Amino acid sequence: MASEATGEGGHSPLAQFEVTKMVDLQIAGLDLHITNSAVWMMAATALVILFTTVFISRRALVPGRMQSLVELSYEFVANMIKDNVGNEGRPYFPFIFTLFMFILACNMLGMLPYSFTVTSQIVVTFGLAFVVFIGVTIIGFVKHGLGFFKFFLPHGVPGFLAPLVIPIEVLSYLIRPVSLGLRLFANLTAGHTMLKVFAGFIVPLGAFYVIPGVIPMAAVIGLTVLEFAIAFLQAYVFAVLSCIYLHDAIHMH
Amino acid sequence: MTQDNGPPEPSQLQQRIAAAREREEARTRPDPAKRAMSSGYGMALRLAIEMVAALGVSVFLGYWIDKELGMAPLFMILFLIMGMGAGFINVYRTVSGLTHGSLRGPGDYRRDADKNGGPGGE
Repeated sequence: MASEATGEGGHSPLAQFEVTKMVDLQIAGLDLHITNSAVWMMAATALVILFTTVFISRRALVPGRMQSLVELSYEFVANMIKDNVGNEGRPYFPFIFTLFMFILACNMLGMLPYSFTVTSQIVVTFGLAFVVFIGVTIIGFVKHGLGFFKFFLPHGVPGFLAPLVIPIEVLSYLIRPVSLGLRLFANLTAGHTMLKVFAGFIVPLGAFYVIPGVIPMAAVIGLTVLEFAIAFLQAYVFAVLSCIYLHDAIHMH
Repeated sequence: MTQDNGPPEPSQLQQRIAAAREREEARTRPDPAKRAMSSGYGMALRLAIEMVAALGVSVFLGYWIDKELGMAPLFMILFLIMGMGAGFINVYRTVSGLTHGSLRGPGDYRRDADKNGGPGGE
């Protein structure tokens, strides 16, 4: 939702997605400059660490407001894993929890005015999705050895269809990380762009007739609420789909 | 809990526990995330992304194989057709996974909950 001017006297709704250099850093001839994207990622990480350590440091038996929020998020992810993976998924709780909290923090920080939405960068979402994909594939091969290849021939498929089904199943397996990353990226980018486009209508309309400016203003308020819902929902969907892929790798069906 | 005074009978208590549990279930069941996920706009976007990703990946793969082997359009066309198939499979799985409310897997209590009238009617 950052609203920097594009330079030529106008606000592009896409200017908010620009990655800019914030701190110049040169170490041993390597260009390690810190961008606004990196800064907000660090902020998200710091927020999650703060959330899960400081708020729970009192460890009251009857949790206070913040402590129960932390416990709630723990329960939420733990139940998500129990429902979608089963008990075998418990060793992977730290990973799923980290993934969920990081994406949620990035999305929520993106809702702050003048902030930068890290998850609107396709590199970031693809990076996260491919980490899940590669990790899950490795888990599948470790658990089942070469038997994991049987995953690509679903039960009950007649033999003569195998040459057709196997390539399609392999392809659909390869598509998973792309659709996983694309979904997060598309939702966040589309939502934030829409917000800016509608916000751009307020002043031009309001300047000439006082009443019409109210209409896009109402739309922006509604969209902001919707964006908060999407920010949570997309983090949830990402985590759930990671759980389902994990389930497939562990149980193979 | 407030309407009847006096010591509750064990059988009555059982009933009340069951009733309270049911109420709690009904209160927590339609969690906002699931509801919003099955909203029309969200669903349409999910399916569109599924299809686009399928075609994108398969065309890219086909194009790359063509470039490596130098067999101009053969693999791209082959992968395009297979990608459509894979895309439709993924779309079908997304849709059926959502309408059954179960994200597959045995021992998934969500599926059991659906049998006795879960969210339904999407």
